[in-house]
Amino acid sequence: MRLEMKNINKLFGPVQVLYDVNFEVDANSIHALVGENGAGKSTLVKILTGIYTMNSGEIRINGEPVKIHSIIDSEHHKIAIVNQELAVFGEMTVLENLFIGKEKTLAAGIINSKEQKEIATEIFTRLGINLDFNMRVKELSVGMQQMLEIGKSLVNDAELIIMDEPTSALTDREIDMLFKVIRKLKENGKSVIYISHRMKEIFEICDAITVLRDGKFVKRSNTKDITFEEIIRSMVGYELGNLFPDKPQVAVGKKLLEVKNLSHHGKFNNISFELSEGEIIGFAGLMGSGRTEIMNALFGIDKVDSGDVILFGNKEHIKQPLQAKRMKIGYVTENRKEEGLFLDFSINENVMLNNLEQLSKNFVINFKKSKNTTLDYAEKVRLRYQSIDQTASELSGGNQQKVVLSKWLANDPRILILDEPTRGIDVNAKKQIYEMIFELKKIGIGIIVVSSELVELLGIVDRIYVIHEGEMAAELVNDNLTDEVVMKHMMGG
Amino acid sequence: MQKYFDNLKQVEFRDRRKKEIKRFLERNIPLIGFFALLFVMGFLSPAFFTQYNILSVLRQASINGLVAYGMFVVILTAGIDLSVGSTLAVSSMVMAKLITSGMNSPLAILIALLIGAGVGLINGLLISKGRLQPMIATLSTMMAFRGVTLYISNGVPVSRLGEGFIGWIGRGSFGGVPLPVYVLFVVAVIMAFVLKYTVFGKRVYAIGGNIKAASLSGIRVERMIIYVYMISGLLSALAGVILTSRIDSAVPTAGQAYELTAIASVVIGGSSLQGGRGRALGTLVGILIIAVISNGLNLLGTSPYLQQIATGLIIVIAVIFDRKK
Repeated sequence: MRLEMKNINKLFGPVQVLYDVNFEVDANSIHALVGENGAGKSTLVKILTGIYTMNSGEIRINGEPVKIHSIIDSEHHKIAIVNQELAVFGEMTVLENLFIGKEKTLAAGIINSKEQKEIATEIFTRLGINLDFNMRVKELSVGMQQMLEIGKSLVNDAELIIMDEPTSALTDREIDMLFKVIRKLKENGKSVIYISHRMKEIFEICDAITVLRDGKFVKRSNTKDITFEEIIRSMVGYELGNLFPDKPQVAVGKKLLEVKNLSHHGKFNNISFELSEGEIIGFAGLMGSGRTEIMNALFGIDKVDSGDVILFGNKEHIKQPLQAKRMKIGYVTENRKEEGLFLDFSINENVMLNNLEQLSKNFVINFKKSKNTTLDYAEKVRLRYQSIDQTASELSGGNQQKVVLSKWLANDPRILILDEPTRGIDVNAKKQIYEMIFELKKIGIGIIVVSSELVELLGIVDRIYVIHEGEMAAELVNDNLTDEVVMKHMMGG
Repeated sequence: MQKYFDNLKQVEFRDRRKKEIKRFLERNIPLIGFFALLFVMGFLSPAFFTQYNILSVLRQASINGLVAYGMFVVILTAGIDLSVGSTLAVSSMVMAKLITSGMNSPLAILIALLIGAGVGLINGLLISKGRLQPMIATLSTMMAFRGVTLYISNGVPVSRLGEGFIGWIGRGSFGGVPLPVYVLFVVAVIMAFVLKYTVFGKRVYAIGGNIKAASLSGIRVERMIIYVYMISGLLSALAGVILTSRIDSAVPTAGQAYELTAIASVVIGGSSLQGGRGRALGTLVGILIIAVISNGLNLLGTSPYLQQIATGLIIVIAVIFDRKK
């Protein structure tokens, strides 16, 4: 399918978010759509899928002008989207998920599961995927859930499939599988719009690229005719330089944390590591390898069966988060929207609620102190906001993450655990977060970074601990280390 | 590397077997509990396993059961219907008034059922179009229609509806089994079939499972929600018709607190109040568990107030088991 979107304008009330945007996707091609958060990618895609209606402009499919006012219109024109936050039904089976809303029936609304099974088998064979149709979707990995969503778009006969940050929650192995499937889609004559912040992937899989900035079209090019630096430059509007700031040289101080033979049956086993002042250590591992579980145990969210945690020289049993917080440990979890923030609360309340002990006296909150604290940290983390009474949900992903950081920094941490600190946030905000991490390193905070992005770990940490199926597979000093080496350990090689 | 993947496969296979067995047990916790309960009751009271007693348990279960099935479908969509008792009462009262003023009973029954569906329609519209929370919407209609019932009856029961169709539906029996019991079982079978094998059923689960995803999948969520509350209203009205027939009178306070028994049955039957999970058979088991407890405690000659304590305990146990899944 060939798609042309011409001179698209979109306003939310008085605020214009798209200015005369042009966007073209060739038939039978994989087209990257990039831009910082807030550049207008999501809005453009939502116009295409009928969630928003444009104020002016034209959409043509294979040269014919079309009108898209609803999801049903967009399905009718054979457009499908695989959402960043997957739209699956966890309690239902794979087969039920595939056909929901598009059920094949015998008569009187009775489902023809035989026909559904045949169609599903055909689709998945074509994509080269093996999936148990009777499995409940909540038992599938994120990667497989995504395959399911792609399968679902094919059930709908989609010709153009939009993928919004499809790899943000996938492991490298799952990404390989996804790319195979995307290439199969292209072989089958489909077009794909690929939205991503990950340049490496875009160069690997996309034929062409369109860059948006601040709601405006900036550049369209074949991937082979453009460089990484050119794309970044057109995205941010100025030279970004290297994604990773220079690693500061910091003398390693006192030992903050020593973990010895920590085990939790079925989750992780015999885990030992240590962290000193001014150090950044990284945890690598596949999704589900036990990385996050170790951090949860350290923070007192989960219990452990055996092993010792030595904090600041004393053996401690951290049984609940409050205790960890009082010991000056901060934990930025991997899921900021669900665990990190009260989305409907203001920036100030988010910071306040994490620091009530310092900000109150005799059970009464000192609002002035709270306000000053919030303003202070908002500036330190370079938060972009209008007012500290703005709700967290109004902020972009990068700025939300900065609020999470603020609320922990306000607690004056000595150890900071960051689980996937830059997931789903744009390049510019990523860079700012790395800079911030280095600032914290300089003042002697010990930092633990858990990440699925090896480049990130290699770019910022001093040492990498690799977890494989709950076991410590390797401890690697980050000195001329390559991602292949880390990956090998991650896969248990 | 190949060895690693082979090993992974084996582990996956073993885990899956274990999971299947575990899942089977988990899914059938209510049923296992029910059989245990029957065993205990039979052991404690010789009168329990008599034909007379079993039929009386079933008859008792039938009216609550119909209400509970309506509640069940609503709960599957992550909703709640507090108005079931008032719906029962208002349709019962209107029907009784119509019959005593000379209307033939099949027509009056039909009108009663339409009133039930109509209350459901109002609930559905308030929730889907009016964007009220189900709890608020049905709390309002619960109070309003209780008021309507009291108003049109002046607070006085309407009795002596006579024999004929209206007498038969609640008091009649077939092959020794009371008619309402058949009605409940027919409804249960239809529910089980519709939820498992039809498009409608799958969409009900989908809405409860993930309402946003459901609408992204092209399901007309608003319309579905209206249907679901209409089903609940209709079944409440049917329960009202049967109750009225059985006691040969419409009582303005009929059906009070039925919503709570219904919610209890659904929860004991293994459904999640968050929607998207629950089985039709489970709800039947939930209904029967509550009926057996109240009957059993009666037989044992304990205080009727103990029944509520027992039901409360069972809800807690059911939910704790449910959460372990």
